[in-house]
Amino acid sequence: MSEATQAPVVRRFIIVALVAPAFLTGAAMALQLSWRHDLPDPIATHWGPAGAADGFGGLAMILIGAAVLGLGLPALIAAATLPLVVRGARGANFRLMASIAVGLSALSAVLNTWTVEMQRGLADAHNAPSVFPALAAGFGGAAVAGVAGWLFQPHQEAVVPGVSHPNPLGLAQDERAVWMRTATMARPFRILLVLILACLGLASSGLWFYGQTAAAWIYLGTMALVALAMATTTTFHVRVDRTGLSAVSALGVIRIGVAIADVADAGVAHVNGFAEFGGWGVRQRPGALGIILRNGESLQVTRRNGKRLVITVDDAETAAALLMAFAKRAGALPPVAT
Amino acid sequence: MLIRIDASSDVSIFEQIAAAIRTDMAAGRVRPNDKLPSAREVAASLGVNLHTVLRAYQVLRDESLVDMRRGRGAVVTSAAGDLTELVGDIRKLGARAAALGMTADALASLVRDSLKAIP
Repeated sequence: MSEATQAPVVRRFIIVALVAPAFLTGAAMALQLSWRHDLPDPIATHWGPAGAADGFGGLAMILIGAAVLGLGLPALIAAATLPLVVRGARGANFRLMASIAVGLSALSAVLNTWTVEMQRGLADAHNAPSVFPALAAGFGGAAVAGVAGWLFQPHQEAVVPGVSHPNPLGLAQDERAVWMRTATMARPFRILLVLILACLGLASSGLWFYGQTAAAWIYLGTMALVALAMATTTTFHVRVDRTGLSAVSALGVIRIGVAIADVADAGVAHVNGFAEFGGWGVRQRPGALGIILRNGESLQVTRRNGKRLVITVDDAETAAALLMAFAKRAGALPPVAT
Repeated sequence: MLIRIDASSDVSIFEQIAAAIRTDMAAGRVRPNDKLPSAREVAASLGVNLHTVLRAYQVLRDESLVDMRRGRGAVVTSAAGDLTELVGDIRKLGARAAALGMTADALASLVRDSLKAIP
């Protein structure tokens, strides 16, 4: 990528992920503050699942919430992602991260401002109207801001800085080989998931005990979903053989693969799950699909259509070397550009 | 875990599979308590007979490098960790042999013959 196209990417990322959220949040908070004399005291700060106000407090709570969601979260996203972009990382996934940041900010600005505005002139916040119109407007605003943020940024071909290309293994014409490895989610995440399961279980039995059977069922269902997700997406069996690359989750629920004829490139690079994929797990991003079970060493396979598959797995170097050897032997590799 | 098989080699295929896994253990790429992939999967990927892979796993079991349990598959034992330590000694030996101008093959056959002499 030339210097001329390099600068707008970084500059526009900053505008979308930081400047726009700062502006939106600043404007929202200024509006909310300007209405402080028209508001009931306390004001409604939280609405229940039926849409009616069920939590009350000072305007400061709304302001703090607006600042944390509207600017804090975007800043967190920028803090994780921007350093990579500055170092030269490119891809639609980074573009999306900035769009998410401004979308979150718009959600916060519209939702908080709307809920404050609708309480102007009320004597008692208990009479605050339903939150649903504000929610709908908030998500609408988030969608508009997200799309605008996406369009404002330039298209970028994927660039993975620091990707290394191990030499293809020297394979004899009739030599057979297979590389296999089990990739498992990092221990802190596994512990976190077990804790979530335990909390859901406790909440469910507590609700049961107090006769809230319907809610208990919801928690139990959520618990089953989390358990299923945990069983199926935290362990992957990764394999490279003459047919290509395959990653199969525990219980065989998720199967992702790249046929050998579709392999354009294979390399090894450091991956940061939050900055590049917005989190961990099986992550679909424009231009890239990630099986991101931890940060660190990852196998990066580029398909012939330019889309990437990223898998965090140990010994990725051997996997890449073998995959390239098979691709070379199959005559699938395009001429080397470098 | 990387397994390579050369059909034109004099070494039988099950021995090659066992040797490849042993090498990975020695290099620390396969560690104690790791589960080896199912023999069926390895056989399918390599295009070899299932019994060939099972035989390779049995060789490793006979060397106490893996534990075969019903329903649990082949699990790498702590002996594989000792193998990793052994590699350090082998490297030292190799360095001394290289200093004496010996090739790796010459050293390997010398080691083999010397061990045969030990009852």
